[in-house]
Amino acid sequence: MKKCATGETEWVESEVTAAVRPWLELRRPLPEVPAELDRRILLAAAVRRSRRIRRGRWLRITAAAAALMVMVGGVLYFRGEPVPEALPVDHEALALWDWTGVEQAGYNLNFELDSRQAELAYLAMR
Amino acid sequence: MTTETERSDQALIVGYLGGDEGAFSVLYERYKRQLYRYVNDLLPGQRSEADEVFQRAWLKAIDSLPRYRDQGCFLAWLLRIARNVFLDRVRAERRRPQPERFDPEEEGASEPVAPSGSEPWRELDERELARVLDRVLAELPSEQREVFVLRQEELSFKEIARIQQCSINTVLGRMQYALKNLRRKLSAIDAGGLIK
Repeated sequence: MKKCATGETEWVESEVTAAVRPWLELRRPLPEVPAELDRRILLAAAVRRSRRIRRGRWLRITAAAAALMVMVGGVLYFRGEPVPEALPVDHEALALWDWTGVEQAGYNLNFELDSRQAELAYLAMR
Repeated sequence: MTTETERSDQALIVGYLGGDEGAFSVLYERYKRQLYRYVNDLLPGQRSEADEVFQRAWLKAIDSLPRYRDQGCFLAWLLRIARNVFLDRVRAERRRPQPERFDPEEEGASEPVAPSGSEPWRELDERELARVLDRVLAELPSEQREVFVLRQEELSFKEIARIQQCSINTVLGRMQYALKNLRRKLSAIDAGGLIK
């Protein structure tokens, strides 16, 4: 051992280890633990183990149920989305492309009549 | 394939936490007697109190197993738990241990010591020596006794310092004074001395 600056004793581990070595040979026998203590402690360990396993099982079931609920909720939420409405049909424009022959002939005659009337008007002015 | 008795402490703990029924009983059998001796050394002559501390220490260890990190010595971890249980019990009973003062004069340095080299206790047979050593240990101050018994459990001084929550230097000092006291007390062994 030695004294450090503060006056406190500083022990040298190797010296202490060497001093204690012979004493370690004086092995005191290990005592027997009473059987009742063994029984209680092993029983407590078994009970706690079962409790831990059950708790773990419940946690897994709850987590699975929560995941399932999220999935079902997501499916229901996105399933009912309405189809976007089609653009309004311009019936008049379509109608121009869907003429029957009679309608076409009638249009042509009217066009010719208007043209003749325009010519007569022009000649009358001259 | 390793047998149950060959599995490491960490493997047994992992097995127990995973649901292996036999793993804990192997671990328990491995360390129960050392812990029992330690607890009885903390409470010499108080068998029922020692049993209670022993049981509580194991229950606390079982509850703490999920948090156990393999840092080399399961026994040191277990002994630390037992010590804390013992201290909790002491606080609960409102007994405050006196602070240790390592004054060499107070440790009986003035008492006559057998000449160096003479070890009369060596003449005792093993059983008698164990009985005498137990008795002499019980007379040591508690901190010195604890250092001695923990060293007998092959714990390093560093681990003992961690258990006692003090510096290594303090532990070394306690060990030296423990040896000094043991030598002094055992030197008084003679036909009419400690042997009854």
